[in-house]
Amino acid sequence: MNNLLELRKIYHYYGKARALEEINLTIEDRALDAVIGPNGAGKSTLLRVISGLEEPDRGKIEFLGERIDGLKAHKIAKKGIAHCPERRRLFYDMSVMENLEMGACVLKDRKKFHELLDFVFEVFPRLKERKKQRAGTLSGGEQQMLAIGRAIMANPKLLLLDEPSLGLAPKIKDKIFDAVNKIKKEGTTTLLVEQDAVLAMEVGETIHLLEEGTIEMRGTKEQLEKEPRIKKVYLGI
Amino acid sequence: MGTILEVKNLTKKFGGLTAVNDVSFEIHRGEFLGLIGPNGAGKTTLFNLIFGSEKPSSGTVRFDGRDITGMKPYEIVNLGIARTFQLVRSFRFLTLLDNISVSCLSPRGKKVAKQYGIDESASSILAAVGLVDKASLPPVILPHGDLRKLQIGKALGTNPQLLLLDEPFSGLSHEEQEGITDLIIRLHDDGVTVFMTGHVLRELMNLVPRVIAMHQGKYITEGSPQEVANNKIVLEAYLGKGSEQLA
Repeated sequence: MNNLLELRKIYHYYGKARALEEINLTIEDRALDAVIGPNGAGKSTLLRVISGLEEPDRGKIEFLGERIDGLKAHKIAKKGIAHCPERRRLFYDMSVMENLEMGACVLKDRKKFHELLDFVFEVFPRLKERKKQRAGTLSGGEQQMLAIGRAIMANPKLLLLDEPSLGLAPKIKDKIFDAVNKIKKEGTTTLLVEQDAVLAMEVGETIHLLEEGTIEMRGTKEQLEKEPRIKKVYLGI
Repeated sequence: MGTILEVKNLTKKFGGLTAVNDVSFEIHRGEFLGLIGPNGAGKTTLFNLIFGSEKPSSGTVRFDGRDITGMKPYEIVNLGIARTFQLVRSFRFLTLLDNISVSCLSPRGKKVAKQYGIDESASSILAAVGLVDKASLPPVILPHGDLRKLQIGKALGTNPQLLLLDEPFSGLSHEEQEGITDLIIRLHDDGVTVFMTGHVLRELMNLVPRVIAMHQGKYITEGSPQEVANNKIVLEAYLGKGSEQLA
């Protein structure tokens, strides 16, 4: 398999506070990787650095064999990385449909639009039912669906998902993760960041454990399940 | 020992969100106590309520036997509680010595400073937090770990009986965290009651003998770090539902 994304020795600081320290990460084409770790571990920063919302202080990022670190976020989006941010960040005053259209604004091939829209509505039938509704009036779970749907509309090669389960009831969490699986099966490489370690380990093929800006270990669910380190990283002892 | 702080049925609502929900606990005089909980648990809001930065919707806070509910932060500082903040705040263009001197000018700080003078008093605090060789520098040029020490020094300038430390380890390197740990242990040995939060738990859980856990605004449990880390609700709050299957 080919590597879609490769991070080499990435460092990032917020002022003087260290957020990422020597991150090496390789994502293979068509993989579903999950990054877990407690709050403040650097999970969101990792995604922000990949999508260009933050410029890494050191290190290099290659996407499809091409350097992308230092590029502006909109350039990176056009290259095929869609970032579904934490807390969704929808266009709350726009309708569901308009939000999806916004996601599609980077599409080069306009014919692709309806194909993608059909797929989003297939994965999230609820969005189809509510396509004229204002995004701000959706429930938390529906907003999360819309945020993912909007990212899919950009037809990304790599989908970055930041804490899709945040603040959702367990049943809704499961629905979201079923959708993540479906999206992956359709061939979209996905990098998921998630505080809920149990859920992330259910879906992730490779799980990376992030602690204080460093990847402490990685492996499959089976490899990590028996690992007392996870509890230790989250709870300190 | 006796109780230095008593929190009773404390509740804070922000619109429809109950950030702190009917929380009760006690801190013993001279204790070294931790407060944990995942993001959004209500830790900082609880600190704000104790310190007077926010007024509770209901419930009481008693310090040293006295009802301090709804008092202003400066009144509370004058009674002997000091706190540090999650985000480092300093007088950026004053020297470190002057940063500390400002809090030595507080009523409680002055009582101590009266014996030695403000500068002397501030210097000894700088020495205690390990910054005495940087006394004439401004905070803007210091690394993050030193700024955290400065925060603690500024709190100490008010001569507190109870020190509230909000996330003293976040954003620090391992070495810096160890420096802060040593400092907090020394302060506690000197008789200051310490109540500290952390969502980076590695340092905290190996430091304090007793921990209180919160989740979604509610008090969950308290006990030794080991006991609290094995509590089912705490595990679920941190790792997700079904976490008991993890090793």
